[in-house]
Amino acid sequence: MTTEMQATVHVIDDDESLRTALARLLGAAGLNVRTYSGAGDFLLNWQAGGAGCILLDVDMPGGPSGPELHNALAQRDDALPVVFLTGHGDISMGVAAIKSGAVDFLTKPVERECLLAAVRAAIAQNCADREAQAKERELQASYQSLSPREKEVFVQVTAGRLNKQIAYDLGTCERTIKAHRAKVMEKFHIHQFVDLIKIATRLNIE
Amino acid sequence: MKQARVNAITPAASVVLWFFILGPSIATADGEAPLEGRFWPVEHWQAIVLIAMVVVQGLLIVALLLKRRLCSEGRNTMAEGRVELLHASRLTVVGQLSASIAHEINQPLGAILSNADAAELMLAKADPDLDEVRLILADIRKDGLRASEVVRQVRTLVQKRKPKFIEFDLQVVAREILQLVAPIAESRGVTILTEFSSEAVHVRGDPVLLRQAMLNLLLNAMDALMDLPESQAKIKFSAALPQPGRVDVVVRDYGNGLPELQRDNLFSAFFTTKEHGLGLGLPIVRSIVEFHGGRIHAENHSDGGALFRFTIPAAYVAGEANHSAGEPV
Repeated sequence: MTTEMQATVHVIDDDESLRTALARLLGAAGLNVRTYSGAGDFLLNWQAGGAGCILLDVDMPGGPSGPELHNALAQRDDALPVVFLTGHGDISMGVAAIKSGAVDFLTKPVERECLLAAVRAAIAQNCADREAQAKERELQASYQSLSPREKEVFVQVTAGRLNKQIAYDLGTCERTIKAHRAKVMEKFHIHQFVDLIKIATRLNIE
Repeated sequence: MKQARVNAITPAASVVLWFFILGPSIATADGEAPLEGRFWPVEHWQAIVLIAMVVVQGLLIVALLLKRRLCSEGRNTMAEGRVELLHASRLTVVGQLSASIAHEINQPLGAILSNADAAELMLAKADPDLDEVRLILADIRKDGLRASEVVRQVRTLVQKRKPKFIEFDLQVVAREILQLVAPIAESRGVTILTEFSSEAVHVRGDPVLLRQAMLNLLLNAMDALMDLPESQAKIKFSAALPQPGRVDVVVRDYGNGLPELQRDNLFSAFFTTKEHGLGLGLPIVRSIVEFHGGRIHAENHSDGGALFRFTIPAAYVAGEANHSAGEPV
């Protein structure tokens, strides 16, 4: 499980002075920080895959703007949550940012509590997302490890059908179905039938 | 002129009249009858004329004084009106630049605040890194100066003031404007190409006014490029000395140019083609240029786009004998 200690805050701002100040503040608050002078710098030097969040300046002359970078990154699976920072925000800008999935929209100069709260919320969101993704990947892997017959039993069982109905449909005896069911539970590392239903919902299996 | 002549005539005429009026009374002063008894019956006509003269003269003087005061008041109101107008238009420009000003001020303020917060957190630790804190303090100082410089620049733009003529390098002011305009150009996707000469371009004039004139032309050019493809969204901005004693400032856009019909009205007040325009931008530029003893004209470039060029006299700079002295109005 990832924690705040392993997460990195990526600060993207064209203004060197502000960038350094933000990095110092976040660093002093115990966070790992990396700074980038613009969208291009970030795309070239960002090592994807790590946990964290992006603290993104809205207006960066001489390159893609903050929202443009955000929209481009949002297409990716490993997108990091974004906290926007702007020198002159208006309502429409803030609404557009939040609608496109930003965690927060802060205006400069930003107070320490607001900044740290927003960054921590973003990191927490990223950690939760990553955990959910890891869990889902694990479930997918377990599901893929089922034999075709086990998959069939899994689908039927979670659809609420009785063992004997399934046995009849598949032309086998109830005992075999029970054995398959036990095997499925084992492969998903669960002990209770209700968890199997939860997994089916999560995997979107009907 | 007329007034001066009347002023010169009245004292001379009055001396002559006084002589004629008083002459007989002095001549008869040694008669037998007592003066009190003889004065009124003998001299009353002279006395009446004398009093009438004094009254007429007094009225004339009062009238002339009043007229003079009205004239000078009129001149003052006109000058004040011009200062007011320039001030109002500067305020409009500041309004247009407000986003970029806010950005320029909030940037250093944000850095100051975050630096101070960081220093506080660092000092709260058991073993604070004092060298780092010193670096932070230096940065805070630097950003404080940066913010106050922005405020100073905005102040000079909005201050209500009388024009003040000094000698300065026009290119320095032009570069300052570019910094101010760059974020707007960026956000509108407009490229500004600059052509400055390598040597200084000295003029004698009011830097604030000339800055305003150049700013208006640039903002105008950017408005003209609205909704045009990237290949056309370009502005050429140059300030140079094409001939000794003459400074040319050219703002050229690569847009669709000026329609023939508009060219005659370009510099008339309240003529505008913009939805939210006041029609004061170009008249103000012209009044500023003429105020500096220069001329402005607009044309369509043969390769497309509108071109605005204003020419003002260059300042005489010691050591550059070939530059004739600029003589502002």
